[in-house]
Amino acid sequence: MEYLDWNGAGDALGAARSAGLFVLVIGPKGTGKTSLVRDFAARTGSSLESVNFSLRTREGHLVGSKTVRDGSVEFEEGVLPRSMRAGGMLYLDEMNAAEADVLLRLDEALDDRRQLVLKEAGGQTVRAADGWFVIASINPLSHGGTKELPPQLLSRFPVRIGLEYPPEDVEMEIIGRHVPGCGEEARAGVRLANSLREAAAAEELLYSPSMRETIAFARLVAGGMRPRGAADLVFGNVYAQWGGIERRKVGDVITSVFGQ
Amino acid sequence: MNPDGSLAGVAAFLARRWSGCPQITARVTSRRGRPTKPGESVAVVLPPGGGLDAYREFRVSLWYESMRASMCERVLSGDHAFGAILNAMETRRIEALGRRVWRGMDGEIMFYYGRMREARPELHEVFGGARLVEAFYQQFMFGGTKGEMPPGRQDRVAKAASMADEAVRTAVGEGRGTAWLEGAAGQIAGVLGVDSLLTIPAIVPRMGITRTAGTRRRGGRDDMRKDGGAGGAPEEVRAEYEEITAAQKREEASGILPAGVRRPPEDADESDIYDASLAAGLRSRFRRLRSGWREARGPTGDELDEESLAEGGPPFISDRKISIRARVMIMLDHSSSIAPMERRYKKAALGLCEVLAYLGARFSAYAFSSHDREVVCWEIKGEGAAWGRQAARRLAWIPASGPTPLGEVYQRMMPILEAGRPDVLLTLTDGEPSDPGSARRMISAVRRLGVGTAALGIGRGTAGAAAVASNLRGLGYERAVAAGRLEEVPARAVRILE
Repeated sequence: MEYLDWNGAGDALGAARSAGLFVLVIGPKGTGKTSLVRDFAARTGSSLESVNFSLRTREGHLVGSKTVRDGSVEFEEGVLPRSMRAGGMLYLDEMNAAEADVLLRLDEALDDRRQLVLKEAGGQTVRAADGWFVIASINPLSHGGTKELPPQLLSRFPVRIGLEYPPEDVEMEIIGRHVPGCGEEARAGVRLANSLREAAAAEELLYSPSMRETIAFARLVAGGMRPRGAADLVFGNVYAQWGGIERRKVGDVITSVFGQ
Repeated sequence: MNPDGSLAGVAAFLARRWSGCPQITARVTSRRGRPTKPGESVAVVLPPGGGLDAYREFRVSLWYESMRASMCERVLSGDHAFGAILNAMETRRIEALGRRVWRGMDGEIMFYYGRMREARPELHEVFGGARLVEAFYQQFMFGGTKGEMPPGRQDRVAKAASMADEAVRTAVGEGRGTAWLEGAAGQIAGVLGVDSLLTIPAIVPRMGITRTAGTRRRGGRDDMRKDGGAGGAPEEVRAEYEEITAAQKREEASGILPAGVRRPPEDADESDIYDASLAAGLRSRFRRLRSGWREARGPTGDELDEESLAEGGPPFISDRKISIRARVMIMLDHSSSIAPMERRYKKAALGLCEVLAYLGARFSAYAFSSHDREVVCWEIKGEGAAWGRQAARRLAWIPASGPTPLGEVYQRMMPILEAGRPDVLLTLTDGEPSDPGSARRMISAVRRLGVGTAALGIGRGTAGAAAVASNLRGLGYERAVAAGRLEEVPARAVRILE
């Protein structure tokens, strides 16, 4: 599926790579951050290594860990030194979900020297090959499980791309690529999602539907499901976890769009 | 159903979604007041009588007002002929535009028309020129009038309604707004032969739906039947009504209060003590408490950490949500020493309650002051009740007066403390108790209940605050901290509870 670069983010990545600068992509979930990076790697013919950060990401996952092989202890390199040596692209997804001590290890590799001392492997130094390009993504702090990035790490990514939900027509075009022939009902779904996103941005709701959901809604409707039922399944029922009132008030907005 | 609590929250949410104005406020009242202000507020009257049908009517009128708030340039009062004529045309214009987006409202709009028509008076009940305006309204909105008019007047009414229909059609087709319709409203008033400034008496809504004799229908619109009546309510609306009703029952079920504890009236203006920027700043500052997780290490947990085990540390890791778990009772000092800074103090207290509600903390809030030479504890918010305008109005009403008899205050609160057993009793005070011995004994009694005691001293400047905190520690509070400035109070209090 070809990525629709509606806001010129792909061009910004290209310019940053040419200038040898690392990039931070900031945006809510489901706005196409990962698709953007994948598409860029494919278009530029780059190898792509990825790490998906979470609270449980450990230094060992990044730099590597010792393992026993054929009776002897060996050090198995993690994704960070592997990517540095290869000189390809490294994608640090949802970087602000990780603990600070893990991020500080990254900081060492990302500074101007572009090198990493592997204390776990006898202190050998890994130097990044020419062309090594790092892109990180973070979710806004309003998202659950996110933390503020340490300022020194933030400064390692001097190019920052903000990725928001696209305008209605663009989102329809993106949905159209996934669900050919989707019609006005899909547009009503996008409008509904935009209304809920607005509520989530103002912290009136605790969850914001992503483009994955508008695509899922269009798929269900294209498959013959009634829009009202599909809207309940995709957009409405998720709010039940925050109580009856939350579910009902979203249900009311769905009713006023699709009827009973 | 009362206009506060859960209903006010749902109304504000729906008004923002329907109008597309994220900052708009919803004013739900039981009596007609200021009209909707475009881009700022929607005003909706809760129909009398209660029940599902009244809720359906309320919901649709909220939708209309939301459309008005987003599509009208201004909303005039309907108590003069020009405003009444213009509002009728605007209602139809925004209805046509709104239905393009909110297609699911059609069924409920039909129901609403039925209710609206039933609520209108018979023409013989309206006197003078106002009868012509009422006849125009009924003819234009419902396609017929309730009662007869002399033939000459009936023709004028029919012509005016036809002009209004045409004007609305043009406005919708050509994207014209309020200013353009105002020109048409002036012409229609001329056709009716009424002065634009003629006073129109307020319509007293009729209770219930009954078929009214003498209704004459002419040229009803094809796109929407106006004999709506109370068809079956959509399941979602019925469920929403039941959910709100149940929530309001829970909010009201705070039980009978013990002697010496009262609920303040709710007729004060809470906007006077609401500091939007303070509330927004606090939400931003403590957001992590609402959405954050932290990793906890211990002898048991979700995941084994080999490194920690090898180093002799706690071997297991588990994720814990960062939140205020404690059930908190807040006691606000409203003695006379608060009076010079009463407004700022109330703003700080309101900010604290706002941020606790935002963080999902379970809390109750009380205040004490003297009333009729007697110490009274005022219930601002019971533990089971929702935080909202109702509670804010109670806080706004409480007068700052009398001494600081903390021992007596805790004595009066004892039945509630024994029944509820909160985890923490947090007292906000600016001075020494007037009954220190009794206060010391009662603080010990509260601690023996298993309730943690904390106090936040408010003093003028750092030195003053430190002195107050030192006094409070001497009284036996388990934790006593101080704030030198009132603006620091909410953040300090959250830190204590954190």
